[in-house]
Amino acid sequence: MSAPRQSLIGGALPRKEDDRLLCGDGLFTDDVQLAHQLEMAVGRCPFPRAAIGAIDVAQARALAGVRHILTGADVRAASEPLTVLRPVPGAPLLPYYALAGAEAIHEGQPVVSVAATSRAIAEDALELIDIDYEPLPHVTDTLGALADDAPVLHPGTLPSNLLTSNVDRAGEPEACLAEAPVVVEGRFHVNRVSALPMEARGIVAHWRAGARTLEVHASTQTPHLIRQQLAECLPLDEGCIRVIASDVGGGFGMKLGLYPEDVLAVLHAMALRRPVKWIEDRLEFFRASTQAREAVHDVRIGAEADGRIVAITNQYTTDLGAWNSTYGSAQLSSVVFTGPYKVADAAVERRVALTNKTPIGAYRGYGQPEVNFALEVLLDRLARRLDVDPLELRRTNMLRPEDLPWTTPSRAVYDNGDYLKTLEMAADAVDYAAHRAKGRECRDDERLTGIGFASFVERTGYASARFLAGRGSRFGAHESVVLRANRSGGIDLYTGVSTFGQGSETAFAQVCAEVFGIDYEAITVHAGDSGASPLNTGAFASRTLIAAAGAIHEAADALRDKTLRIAAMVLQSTPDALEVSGRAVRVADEPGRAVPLADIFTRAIIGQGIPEDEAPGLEAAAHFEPSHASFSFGTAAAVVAVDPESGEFDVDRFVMAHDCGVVVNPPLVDGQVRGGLVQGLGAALAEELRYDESTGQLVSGSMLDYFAPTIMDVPPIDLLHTEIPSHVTPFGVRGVGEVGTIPPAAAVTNAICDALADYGVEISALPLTPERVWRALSDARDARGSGAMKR
Amino acid sequence: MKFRHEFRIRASGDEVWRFFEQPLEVARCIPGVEEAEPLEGEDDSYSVRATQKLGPMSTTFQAKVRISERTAGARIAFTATGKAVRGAVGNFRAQNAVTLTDEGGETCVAVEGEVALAGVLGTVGSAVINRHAAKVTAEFACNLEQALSAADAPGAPARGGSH
Repeated sequence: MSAPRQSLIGGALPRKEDDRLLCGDGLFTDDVQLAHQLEMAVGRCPFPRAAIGAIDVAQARALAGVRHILTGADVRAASEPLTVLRPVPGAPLLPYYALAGAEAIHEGQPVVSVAATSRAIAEDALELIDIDYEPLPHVTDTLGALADDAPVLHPGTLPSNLLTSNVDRAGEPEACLAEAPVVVEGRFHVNRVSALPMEARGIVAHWRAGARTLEVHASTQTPHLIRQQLAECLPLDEGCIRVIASDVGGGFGMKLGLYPEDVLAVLHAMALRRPVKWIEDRLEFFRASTQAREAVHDVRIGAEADGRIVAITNQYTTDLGAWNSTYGSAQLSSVVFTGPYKVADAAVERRVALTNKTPIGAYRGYGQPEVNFALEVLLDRLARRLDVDPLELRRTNMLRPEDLPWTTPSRAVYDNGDYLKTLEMAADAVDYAAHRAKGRECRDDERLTGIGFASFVERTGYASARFLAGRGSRFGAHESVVLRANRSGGIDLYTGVSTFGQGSETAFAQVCAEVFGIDYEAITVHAGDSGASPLNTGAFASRTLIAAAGAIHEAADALRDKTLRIAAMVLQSTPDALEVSGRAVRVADEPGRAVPLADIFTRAIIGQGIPEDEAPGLEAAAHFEPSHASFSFGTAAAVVAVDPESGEFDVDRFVMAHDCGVVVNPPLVDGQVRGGLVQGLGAALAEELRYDESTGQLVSGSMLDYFAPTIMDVPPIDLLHTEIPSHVTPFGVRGVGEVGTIPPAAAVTNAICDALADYGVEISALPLTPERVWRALSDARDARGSGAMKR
Repeated sequence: MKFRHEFRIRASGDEVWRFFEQPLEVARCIPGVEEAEPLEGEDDSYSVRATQKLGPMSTTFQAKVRISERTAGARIAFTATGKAVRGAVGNFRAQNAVTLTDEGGETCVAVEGEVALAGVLGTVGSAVINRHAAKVTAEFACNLEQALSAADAPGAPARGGSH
């Protein structure tokens, strides 16, 4: 590999995506309009669980404009159940068809679908379909589902609603806890939330029977995996299927796999030989797209009197909903359950519970925000119990640079880093020392101020395909790229990574330009088309740049080597003496002797005027598999002001000190972190998909009832970076796409508990609304009033 | 989801109660009710069709309403179950009670109930439902007062003659 000639890595280059998006020339799924296109609407079960009797579609079929109706029986005749890409090792798959059969087991589960000449007609037709539902007993509470008397969701496959449980452990945590002078424990409830992308899901399916070609435009993060899953569900080879994800209006993990509606649109299209479009509306979205996060963590921490942690145990239950969606419920809580702390004796048990709710899927953070909330809030409780400063407690226990690499009790290997540095930076930024010195007095507005910290280590990327295979995943860890020279003297970069706002087109072009030496502007990125791009994995798990940078590096090297060999003949020099600069190849010592790249590329493409031993063509493909995951890290600090009477509070300031290794494009990184923080704050403070236990009904499924933050709700955010190159990734990068979601809940909770320390307030559940704070205040008051002053 | 609304009406408790003994007349005062008729063979049961606009959705319900409790002059309770037949798909179940308190020339009418909505209707939360219930109750109060004064007016046609 040759030394970089420009310093594009770290440059604040403008995003390649922005021109088209700002000019209104983005191409989202609903922008695709095909001739003779029909539209689909989906009828959904209105009960959390119901036996489905007769379905009468006669009236609907007679409605003018209705072209095709599918029921559960039709779907069973024409397709296989949806496949799972990340099955839970050792657990049954719980396969499900695109439409419910004899029974539907969550509110919103698709039961019938209609293709008609317009969406309005299709929806009218749904109203004319008479379905005989008989409501059955249901359960929506995560832990309630595991009770002995809970109705079992999948009695044919499982004896209870516990899908599986798996344990990771090291040392003797139970014995350490038994001997520890101080043990704190808590049960932490993490709310069910939505990823809430601006563009909900959508698909346009177009089947040309004569050509045996199925072309699918979909709003997805993983076109190649959708292609794989469609081939698994339908009587089609992958070769017949092309999946295109042009622009995608946000994914956040929610658009990682195949959904029932995708299969339905394809089945209609194949039956009718006409294109069929389905665009998810927002009311559907809340009930049909995978939801996220919901979990209960039971955590215990044992410590010496000086605050040194001796053991941590965490038994947590994630709520899977009714089915195992493509990615299932979050798995990373187990990976980072000990956080950035030096604890050798620890155990974690992950239990997966089934409930009559919309299936859970991946969402930015994938278990890491959940476990961070439980661990960091309990850590502050330990600090209060020991009367040790929470900052000092973290200092005492944090892994030092010399401890790294560190194998955690769940056998993750933290690469290099300086965790303590981000802690100190965050503390300095909020002037923590001054806050501590000040004492707990109300401000003029009768509010108390508090500061809370949350430190974290974040797994980014996948170690290897072997690592993934061990966990049952049906996708690889690699990323691939094809670089193809063009006759204009530019390079076409083909990637299977679709673009949904993360700026990968920009970062990929930067890496390619850096390695090849060509102008950034001369690189055109072609993303998200399974027909054009090499087979890859897709954009998720904060893995894209880690894996893709390696592939781009390798392919750009190969392309450059051949370019220089051809140029050496033209310039009568040797490849070693040449360099690529901008749009030309020149002799390094004699910049006047140069040949345009357009000339070299054209020679290669047409095979004329190239060395005799060179094959024509100028194209390189590379696959790169990372050898390790790398671990980002950081500390967040929240400054809050709380009214101790009403529980009303404001986050006055939020500081995030963090490290994602070498930064390829600073504004992109800031945008990712900031966006994640806003989602994290929304989930921590306001958002909740709430189910009514008695009716099993989602009761916050509209934008009137689900409180996503607007820009007016976002506190001032300061971002601080350290830039410690990872030793295990190309260019020293670490993933950055998910980090912001991790610390907000714990940081704000700790800040509120700090402000209200004199009131004995403890908070263990999200979202952290003023009402919850008020209730915690009255609970604490009651506890004191009743003489329970022992603690 | 629970709600409670009350209003005062310029009529004595007896007058209001007499009117409440004619369910079909009362139904006519409820905004959105399109049809109401007794169910044959079932006492105190009615078939009601009504359209309501909830937030962004308009829905026509076909419901069975059954009077479950009557305390003369003071209280009437009923249950309703039904499903959407037009508009947003969903089902509902409700229990309601109307309590009358004679306050000397004026009657305080309290409407309280609990409603469970299923399907897409149920995803609209209590804020929207409550606002809607308040609006419906206010219009109902207005209509009720008009109906009562019309019934009192000399020469007014006899009302509720069917039973």
